Amino acid sequence: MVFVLELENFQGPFDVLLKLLTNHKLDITDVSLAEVTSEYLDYIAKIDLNIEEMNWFLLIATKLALDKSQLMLKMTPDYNDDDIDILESLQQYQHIKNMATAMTAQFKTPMYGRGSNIENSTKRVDLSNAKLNTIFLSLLEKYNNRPKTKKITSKKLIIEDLRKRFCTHLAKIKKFSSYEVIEKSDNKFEAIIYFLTLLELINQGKVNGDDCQFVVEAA
Amino acid sequence: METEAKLVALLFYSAEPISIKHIIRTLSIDKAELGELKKNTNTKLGAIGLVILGDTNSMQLAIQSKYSLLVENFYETSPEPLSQPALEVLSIIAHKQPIGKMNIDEIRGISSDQSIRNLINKGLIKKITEGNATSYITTLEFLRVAGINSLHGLGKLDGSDGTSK
Repeated sequence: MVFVLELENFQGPFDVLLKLLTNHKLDITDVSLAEVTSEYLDYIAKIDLNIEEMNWFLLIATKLALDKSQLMLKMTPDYNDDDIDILESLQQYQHIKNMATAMTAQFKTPMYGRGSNIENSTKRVDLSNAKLNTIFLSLLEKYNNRPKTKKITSKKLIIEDLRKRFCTHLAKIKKFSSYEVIEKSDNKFEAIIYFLTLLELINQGKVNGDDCQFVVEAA
Repeated sequence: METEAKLVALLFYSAEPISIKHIIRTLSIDKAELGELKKNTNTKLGAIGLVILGDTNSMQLAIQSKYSLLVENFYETSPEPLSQPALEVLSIIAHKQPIGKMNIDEIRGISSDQSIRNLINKGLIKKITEGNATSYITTLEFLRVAGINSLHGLGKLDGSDGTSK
């Protein structure tokens, strides 16, 4: 899928032509337009345009090239009613641009009404260096004065340690009942570990017994 | 005098523009009388920094543009700026309204779809349809934002009749 990004600030062929004329300090005349035609064609060869935009630019390019050739050959232009008069269009566009500039100044002094008008405006934000510095220092102070969080430590039960502890205990008491597993355990987890350790010791023949009474065999 | 007070009362109560048809019906006057009433009332309102804005459809009470900076400083706000293409499109519509999109595009030499959408969203222009023809006109919000109390306050398009060949 192709996404077309429409940039509102994108300007059209008349704007490009006016900029070229301004760059060369030229007035809007047939001769001036003939002088910037090549530059205009170079410009549209370089920029990326979608089909619709290219259509507008090529329309003007064709007319510019035709006007230039007629000027060089000193031919009398043969206008149809549908032809674009670039000179007239450019003058009109220049005028619109001037009006838009004048309007920018007018827009600086709107008439505020009651209610919603203020909401359509942009909230002014003071972002001077001094203001930014104050904000930064305030944040830094907040950071430095933040409440210290207590380090939460968890009691890690390491299975191997529990096994060793239980084996050492059994070696000391020598004789014990199955209740020893329960008595020695602080919680269910430890009880499981001790019980499995006991089963393993029985399996290895290091502990013998019956009727829930066990004896640790000499190593 | 009493009618002027009634007009101000109606406009003062509403934060939004109100329909001219509605005002005419309520005050039992005709359109020409309303025009004259607006002119006379504005003369008096000028002394207290207010103005009645109006186009062909509606009216609104507003603060005179010379106090806009005071309001902006007090409420720490600024008018939202418009892009150059949007300003161009708005200038064309303001001076040649009602005007169709094709004519706007011809004058600018490029499609103005995005700018037109943007201006409609901001409430500065609106679309009108007559028969099959669709065209655009400015709104009362445009007058308010431009700081003029009627379209007569716009400068004229000198040196061009505005029609493209």
